[in-house]
Amino acid sequence: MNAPQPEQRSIRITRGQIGQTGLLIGGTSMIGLVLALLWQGVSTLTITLLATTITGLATWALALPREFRSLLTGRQARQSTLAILSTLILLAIVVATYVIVLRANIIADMTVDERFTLSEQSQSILRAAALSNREIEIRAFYTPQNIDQREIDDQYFQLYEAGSDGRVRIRYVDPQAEPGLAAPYTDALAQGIYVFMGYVNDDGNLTSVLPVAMSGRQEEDISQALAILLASGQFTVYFERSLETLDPLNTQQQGMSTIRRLMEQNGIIVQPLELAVLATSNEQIPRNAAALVIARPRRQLETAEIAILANYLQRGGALFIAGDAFLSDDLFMGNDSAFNEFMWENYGLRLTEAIIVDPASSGETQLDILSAQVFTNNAIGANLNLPEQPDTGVVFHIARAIEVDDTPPVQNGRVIMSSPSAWGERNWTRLFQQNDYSFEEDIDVAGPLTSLAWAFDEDTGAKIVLVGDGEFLTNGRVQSPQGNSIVFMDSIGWMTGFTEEVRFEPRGFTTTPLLFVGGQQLDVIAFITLILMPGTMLVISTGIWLRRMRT
Amino acid sequence: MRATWLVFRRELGQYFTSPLAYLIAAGFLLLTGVTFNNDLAFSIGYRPVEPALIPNQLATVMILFAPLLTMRLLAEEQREGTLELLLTSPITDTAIVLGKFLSAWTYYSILLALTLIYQIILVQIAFPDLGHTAGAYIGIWLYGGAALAVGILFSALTENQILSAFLATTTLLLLYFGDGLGQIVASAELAQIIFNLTLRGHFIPSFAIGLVRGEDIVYFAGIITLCLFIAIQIVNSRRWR
Amino acid sequence: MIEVKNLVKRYGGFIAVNHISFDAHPGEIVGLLGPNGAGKTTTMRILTGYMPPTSGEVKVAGFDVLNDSMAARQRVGYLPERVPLYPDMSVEAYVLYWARLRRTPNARQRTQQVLEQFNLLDRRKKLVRSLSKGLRQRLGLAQAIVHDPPVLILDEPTIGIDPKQVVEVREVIRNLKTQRTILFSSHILSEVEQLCDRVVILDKGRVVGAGTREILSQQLQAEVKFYVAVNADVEHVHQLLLELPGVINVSSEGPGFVITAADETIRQHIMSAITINQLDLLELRPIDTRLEDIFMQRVES
Repeated sequence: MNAPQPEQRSIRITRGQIGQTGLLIGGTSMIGLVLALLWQGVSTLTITLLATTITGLATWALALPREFRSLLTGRQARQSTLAILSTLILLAIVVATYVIVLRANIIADMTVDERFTLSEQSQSILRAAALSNREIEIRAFYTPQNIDQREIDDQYFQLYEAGSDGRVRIRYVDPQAEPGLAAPYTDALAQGIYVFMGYVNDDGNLTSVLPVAMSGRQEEDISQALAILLASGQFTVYFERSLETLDPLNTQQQGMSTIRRLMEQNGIIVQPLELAVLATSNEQIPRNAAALVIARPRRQLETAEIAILANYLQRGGALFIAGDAFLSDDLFMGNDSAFNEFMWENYGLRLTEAIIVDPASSGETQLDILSAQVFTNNAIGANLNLPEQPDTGVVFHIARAIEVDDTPPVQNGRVIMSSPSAWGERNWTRLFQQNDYSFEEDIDVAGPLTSLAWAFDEDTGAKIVLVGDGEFLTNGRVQSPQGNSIVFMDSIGWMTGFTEEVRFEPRGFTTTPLLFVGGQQLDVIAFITLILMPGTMLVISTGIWLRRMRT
Repeated sequence: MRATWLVFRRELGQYFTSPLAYLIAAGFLLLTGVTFNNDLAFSIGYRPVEPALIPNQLATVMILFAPLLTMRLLAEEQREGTLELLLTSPITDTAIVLGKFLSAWTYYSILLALTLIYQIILVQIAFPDLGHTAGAYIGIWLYGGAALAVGILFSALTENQILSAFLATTTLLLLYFGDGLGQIVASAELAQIIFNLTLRGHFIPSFAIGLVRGEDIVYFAGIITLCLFIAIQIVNSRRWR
Repeated sequence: MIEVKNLVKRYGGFIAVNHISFDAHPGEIVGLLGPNGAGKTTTMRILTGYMPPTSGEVKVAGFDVLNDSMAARQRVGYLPERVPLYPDMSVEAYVLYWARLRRTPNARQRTQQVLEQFNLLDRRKKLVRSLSKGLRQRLGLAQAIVHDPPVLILDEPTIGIDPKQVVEVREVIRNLKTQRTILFSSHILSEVEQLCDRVVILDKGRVVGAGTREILSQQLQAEVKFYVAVNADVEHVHQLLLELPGVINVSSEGPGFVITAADETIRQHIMSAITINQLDLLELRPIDTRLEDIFMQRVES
């Protein structure tokens, strides 16, 4: 309608455009400046933004002086300038509102199970943490690639920060940007663990670091780790070293470093102890020994050594004894040995000289004793032989049967037994030298036989766990199956009181898995949702279209 | 207000008599239905159905559907010449844009209500976390409003409906998947800022997991307000061209 | 009532309307005439409140279109050049919608009235998309007057419809003028001649002529035209006519000549010349100064 005059057709950028661009840049920079000031205080960013603000606004004022003046006098400026200005003001208001509401931290937990509200137990753990005078840090590693996961996890971490009045802090590290900080955690990171918890040193590093596996039950994982952290260092477990026992420092197949690492990961301090040395220097087992582990000793105990143990137990100590079968004259806890008798008299437990052979065992050989029967009503056996989880069974390789006094002087009980068709082979020579064994009526003992048992003296508080096999604690076998390490850790937990201290009771969720829905019901649902409803829409659509075609 | 209501009523009526709108409804139901039935099959006896399942899916679906629902709202008026009549009637430009937006949002709300059929079914056969689902629906309702507002903005910009839908879809893709940009960025802090500018960033760590956060509501309301405001400015600018 | 004083409209550097002034009063039909790009549509858009003037005073029904835009828009009925339609609405719903938007009291009743007035009542349930062009024009007019505005502004209302319907539309417009002020634009001169009481001629954003036809023709440099046919040698007559006093132009047309002269006295001169030369007069008649001539003259100068 309006043919442009020839002189308007130039591609020259008008003053108006320059001015308005300046206004746009200046106004947006101003908003960014305010935000940056709120966030960071004075910094290079804020100074840069200040510069762009001034430049932009100055450009606008110089290019469109009339409008700049009219802004001051209140008269009407050009339409588009006004539009840009008012849009920027609206943007500023929106952004300011956002920041204010963000700071106010208004959050509503909509879940029926209140998954974002900490349970009573978590809260008491947090109160304990708040009382401690050591800073606790949750250090979590996220790269720019998984910022969304970080934002989700942050919803849980925030709860802990708030609930502990800041005693528990969360720190995010980008392993790509700060490889130095990530270095100590490389192995764990490779295995998919990216959250860690520990006490903060003066130099900012973490000690007593625990990994936190973020499974679907975040509160459980974090609170459990926190509880362990708070308890760490409170429990010291000693490992006997002078009886040619398994070595917790040895990382080979026959070593016991895996067990040691498991304990340290749970905040338990592991220390060596030599009964022989204590005996000669007439010392006792240290007072801080929450438990003593004698793993697969190869000689008998001396009288003095037994006395030390007796004294320890009298004080309420706890002993984990893993005996084993050797073809030897100096068999530990042999039939008539002093220590065997000591154990029988005081606690109703003793090792026999019968090796358990279980034909019903599905292990490699009949000497590989599976935990055929487990008493799960106690702390030691509670997590063994879980249904649908074969890895929670226990396997002993060449185990001695334990005799349990059914009228004991103190409380005792069995935990793991063989199947009824097992027997105890007494002819060790034939077994070890010719790998041959068979049930002999008068000599061998008929099953079922016990391979792991416990005892508890109510008066003294002494606890004993006796196992007929030691090899299950070696690096090569302790985690195949997982049950081997489970039964050891649960035993330690029971003996030391560690489990009581740190066990986090997971709370029940009301949202259950989907109930079983029959195939027919599924069909009905599919029909309604996939055919009936969309179909109705399609029919209506076609109907309208047809009617339109006709008119 | 009176004019807003009149425009709203007419536009809503257009939705109910438009074959395209019913096609979109059918598509909506079909897509969400497939997801629902699938998840149902995999969850039986094993795990609870994900409470935010449908809203999560709708977050991506709306990127295409919002422009489709809004592309004609202003572009058509411009092309048919009725915008000129509207602008010479004694009504404000705000009433025009607001009325149209509210009609689109209402139609969307109706579609959302239709998807509640899945929750009704679930309640018969399980114990779903209705609170979590309610939160997710509030979120996707606001989210949808924001997407529709973006759609209206581009509908105001051009009289070509296809171009409008294309531009709106692109913008929404950027707003939704913008955090992909953040993944390329070197700094985790910058990536977090970018994430918090995206639509996803205000849905995934909150509504999708069962939380309702104040700042997310402000974010979506802010987008709606800004887009509508700019759309009004654009409509107004027609008077100056 | 339309009052335009010194209206200027500028788009960036381009001036679309350059200081025009004119009036229109109730009971009048004023025609806005001019070639494409003269500024007719721009002026109309300013009057209807679509766009604001750059400067000048524009009042419709007593209300300033800039300061009292809503009040002004309320009192204007507008039919743009392209009839605006909602294809998927029914005829009745369409008119009712506009009635309501413009705060028409008793909107439903009024809609029925208007539909009846334009003979659309029997088609009121049909979709707008199914109407012929002529019916659409009527529909457009219907929405323009449904709210009973004192001012009607019609932009090229008879463009693109067939001749029979054009006649109808013109009739309708004529009937509408009681107590209303009607401004319509056209570039069909004959139409403007037929319908308008007054004419405003625009060219390149300026008023180049305004007033009734009579006044306009008086403003022309007092030209009269006669048609003369004489039964004699053509060359001889031509020469004869050229020598008459006050002659401006002689051009042959058909068997005779069109002689343009300064005033009416040329008639006597022609009669005298014929008598003196004893010529056989076949025809002598005046030619009415047509709007076309006025237009062409104004626009070209």
